[in-house]
Amino acid sequence: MNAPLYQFGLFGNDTALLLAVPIGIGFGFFLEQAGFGSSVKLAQQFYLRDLTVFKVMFTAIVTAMLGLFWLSWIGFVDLSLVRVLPTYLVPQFAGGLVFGVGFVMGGYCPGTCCVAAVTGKMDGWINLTGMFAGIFLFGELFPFLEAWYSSTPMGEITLSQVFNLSQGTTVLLIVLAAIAGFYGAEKLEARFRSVGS
Amino acid sequence: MTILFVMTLNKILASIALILALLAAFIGIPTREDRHLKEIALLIETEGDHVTPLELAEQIYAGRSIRLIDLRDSLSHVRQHIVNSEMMSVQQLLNHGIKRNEMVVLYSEGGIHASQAWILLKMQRYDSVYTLLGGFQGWKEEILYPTLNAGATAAETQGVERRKMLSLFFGGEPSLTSQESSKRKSARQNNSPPKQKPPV
Repeated sequence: MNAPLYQFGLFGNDTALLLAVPIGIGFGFFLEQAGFGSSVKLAQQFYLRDLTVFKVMFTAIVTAMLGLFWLSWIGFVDLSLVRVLPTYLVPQFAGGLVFGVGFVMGGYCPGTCCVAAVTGKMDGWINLTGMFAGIFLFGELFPFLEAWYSSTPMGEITLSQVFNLSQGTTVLLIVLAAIAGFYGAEKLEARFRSVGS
Repeated sequence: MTILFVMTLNKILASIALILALLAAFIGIPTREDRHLKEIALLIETEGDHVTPLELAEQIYAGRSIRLIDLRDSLSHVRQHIVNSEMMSVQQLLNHGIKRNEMVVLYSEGGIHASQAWILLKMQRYDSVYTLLGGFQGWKEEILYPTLNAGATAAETQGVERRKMLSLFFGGEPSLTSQESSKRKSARQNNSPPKQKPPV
């Protein structure tokens, strides 16, 4: 086993932080290349006219998932050491709603508003300012929110554990869902583009 | 033509993903536990489970960040220990939040306890964990109070100055010339009480 590289001691905290910079720039570059620096394009998904966000994100999920599965199978990645964020059902459901409403209202998610901001878009900077204001507010209110924030804990669970399936079967189901989703997205785009135009 | 190519490429990629996913469903669980056990066995066979006192001393001297854990009892630890090592029981060790990306060297008096703890940590997939070969006894013999026999071979006399320097760095008392060795030996024969060493 060689990966996760950080867990296996190939580099320490300092190098990990330094590596975050090129990884972040790379992530931003590909978001920009996918057209996610434009709030107009991003907002089109809510009218079902342009589902690029859905397709790009689902492609990333499928690629990473298949990559992790097969790299684990050949012995390169130790899946047991890959960090899984713990689930807190109710607060994360609420967080998802706040995220979604913010995305619809502002036209950007946290990553894409950074991309828009560095490419010189004013709405990107406004979203970024709002995001940091929200982070600051949340930080200040955290002592009052802490109990709720940690409520309904479910631990570090994965879909295969929830549905009691093997990891391979879960991979297959998600890939099938992705392919069906891509097909459906193409159909929806064709239909709603003509309605919108 | 371009659109046709893009569509074809998308379909090819989707087909590859589907094939990989079908194979994944067939395999089920990608990680087999026995591979991990084999890796541990291989490490033991290839002596990748330990560092020698000299290697450890060189690495500490070079300023490498190493977490040293002393598995001996508190009395032994208070009496004398390797610089910057922390005392822990084996039980504490398992619950003590050792990071997976830090190099950990375990030592006990002779090395048996440390080897047992090493196995436990390895089973929990801590990969940068090593034992100190020979334990604290080995550290004392090789680093703190190294001696050179009168009939030492050329190979044994190599690097004497370096070892002396390391010994002094760790607060030891090297006797790496045959003269010093014989003095030390005669002192031991005279049953002179051993000089109390400061914790090192």
